[in-house]
Amino acid sequence: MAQTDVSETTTNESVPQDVIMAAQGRRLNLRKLLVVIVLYLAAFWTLVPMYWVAISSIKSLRDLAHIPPRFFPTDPRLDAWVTIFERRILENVYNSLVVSTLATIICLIIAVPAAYAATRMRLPFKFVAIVVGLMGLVALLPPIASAIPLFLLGSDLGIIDEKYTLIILYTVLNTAFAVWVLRGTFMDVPMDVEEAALMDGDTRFGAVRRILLPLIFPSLFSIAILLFIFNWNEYIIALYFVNSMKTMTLPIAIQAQIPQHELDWGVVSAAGTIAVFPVLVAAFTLQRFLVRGLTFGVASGQ
Amino acid sequence: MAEVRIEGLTKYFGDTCAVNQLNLVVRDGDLVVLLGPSGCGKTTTMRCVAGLERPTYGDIYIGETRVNDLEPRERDVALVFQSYALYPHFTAFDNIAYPLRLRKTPKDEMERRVRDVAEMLGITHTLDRPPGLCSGGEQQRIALGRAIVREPVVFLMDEPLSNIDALLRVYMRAEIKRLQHELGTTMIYVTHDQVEGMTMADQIAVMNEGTLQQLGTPSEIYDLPSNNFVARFVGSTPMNFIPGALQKENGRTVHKSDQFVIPVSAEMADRAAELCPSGQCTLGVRPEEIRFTTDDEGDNQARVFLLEPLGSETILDIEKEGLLLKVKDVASTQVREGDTLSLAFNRFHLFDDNTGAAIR
Repeated sequence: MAQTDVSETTTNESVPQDVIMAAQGRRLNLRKLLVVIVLYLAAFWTLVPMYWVAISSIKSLRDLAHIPPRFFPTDPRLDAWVTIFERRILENVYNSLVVSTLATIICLIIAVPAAYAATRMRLPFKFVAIVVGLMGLVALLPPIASAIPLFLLGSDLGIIDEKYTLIILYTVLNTAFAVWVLRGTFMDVPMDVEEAALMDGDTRFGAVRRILLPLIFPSLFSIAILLFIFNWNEYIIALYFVNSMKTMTLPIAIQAQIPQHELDWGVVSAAGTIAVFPVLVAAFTLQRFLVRGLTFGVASGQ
Repeated sequence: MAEVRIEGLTKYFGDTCAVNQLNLVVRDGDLVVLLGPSGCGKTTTMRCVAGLERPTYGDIYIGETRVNDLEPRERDVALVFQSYALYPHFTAFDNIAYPLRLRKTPKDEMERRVRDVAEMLGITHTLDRPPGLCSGGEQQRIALGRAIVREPVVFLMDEPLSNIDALLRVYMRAEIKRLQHELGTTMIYVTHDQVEGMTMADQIAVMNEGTLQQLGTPSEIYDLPSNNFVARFVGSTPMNFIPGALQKENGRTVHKSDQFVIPVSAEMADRAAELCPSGQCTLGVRPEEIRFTTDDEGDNQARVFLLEPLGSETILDIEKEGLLLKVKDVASTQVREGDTLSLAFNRFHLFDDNTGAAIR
């Protein structure tokens, strides 16, 4: 690009070349500056609530109730944190971790072969759309609409208040989404590469395991993290299916910190901070992988 | 090393017939080029041999084995893809070693064979790099290396040179031919580039619309095209076609068109009377088979309206009453635009207008 610009301007002798280039440079910098400002604003917009929850968990009651609100706690204390650990929040974290992780893994185990079949087996698009659409129907409904019939079904089967029930439900609800996203990812990998593996003497399963999956690993990992976050944040289904500390996931636990009589925002904020933490970690990992995924595609030269 | 025999191969994709009743024998050690325009079924044919497509009807034999129901890995056939289809997450070494790894070749033997092949192809310096960091020509050789290293019984090449620049293509063309000669392995080479076909092949199979038009050596294809499609498709300056009809004039047969009257040999006239009773046929003549003189005495006169100098030769564009002819002037005579020439037609072909088949 720059090369052609230069050659065009050299023919235009009335305007010195460096003036033009300087002007172009300025315009570019201005644009860059605007982009940076907008990004900072967006970051501020999203980070302030998180900051607010975090500092609220160490504010004194006076600070919490203070008007106008205080951006920095004047009298930081850890009472709220002590309280939630006394209320065994770590058990809730454990429940959430187990449910979210297993649901994510099982979902991928189902979705990867399904998406592979949908892209590679020359099935008519309509057929794929209908099958995945049907699977996605449950997920597309407002959660509350599916939660009630699912609860009735679950209580008939006597599987309410079990972790594995949550795992099954989360898997089912996310599979259609995962298949759809993976389908796009698989379609980006040229058929040739896999066929080359078949020609080189590999089985179809081997070609998928040794060639296709390593190639899409960054995308696969990103999808896994997204699914994990969905599961981690899920509230409505859990609200119906959780009855005791044995299965209580974090979102329900946070809700449970709001008692009937007096509301301690510090405790709720501390629980909220714990819930946000893994999501933050996931988001940062995701970002690194997304960047890697992009450059990986360029290097492959396909 | 093996012969490849294709018998009555037919392949449908839905209602579309990609290959229709194809019969072809590729002799052991031959390099056969499947030549044709895009969509002629050449790639589909090759993919059927590879095992990536299943024939709708017909049989494919590699050696004595019928391979219709065998998976690609059971056929011992190597394929070089148009896109190279290298594994981007492996180094060049691992790309080439992959077929050997799958065959559980001992590590030191694998190492040795990969290095041998890399040396033969001149890509030893790329072995530690992923293909994304290699040039187009190097990627091409890595793909070749991956095919060669396992010593398959048949090589399949799917337009392997179409993604590299013209200069390198001319070089690689000879390189692949040399390799094939050295290894003595049967090769089926798919291309739409007739120059590639002519320069590389032992046998050319010209295809169009899913059917085999002609199978023959490059010189047979060039000198004795079996129909007007083959005649039109092969030759870098295309053959000239003059529509007209055979007639008797003064006791001898001539091909008479709106522009020219061209005498036909008695032998050819007999054949034409037998094969094409209507006499409606198109005369085809190659640009180098038209002789010309600058005198204005002869029967078939026409005017030069454009010169296309190519250095070693000049193409004369000649026009007469709406008909354009290209004539190759190898002797670099001093013809100028606007000159009138008398034309004589050395060797020509007659094609039946109804069937397109050559009369011979």
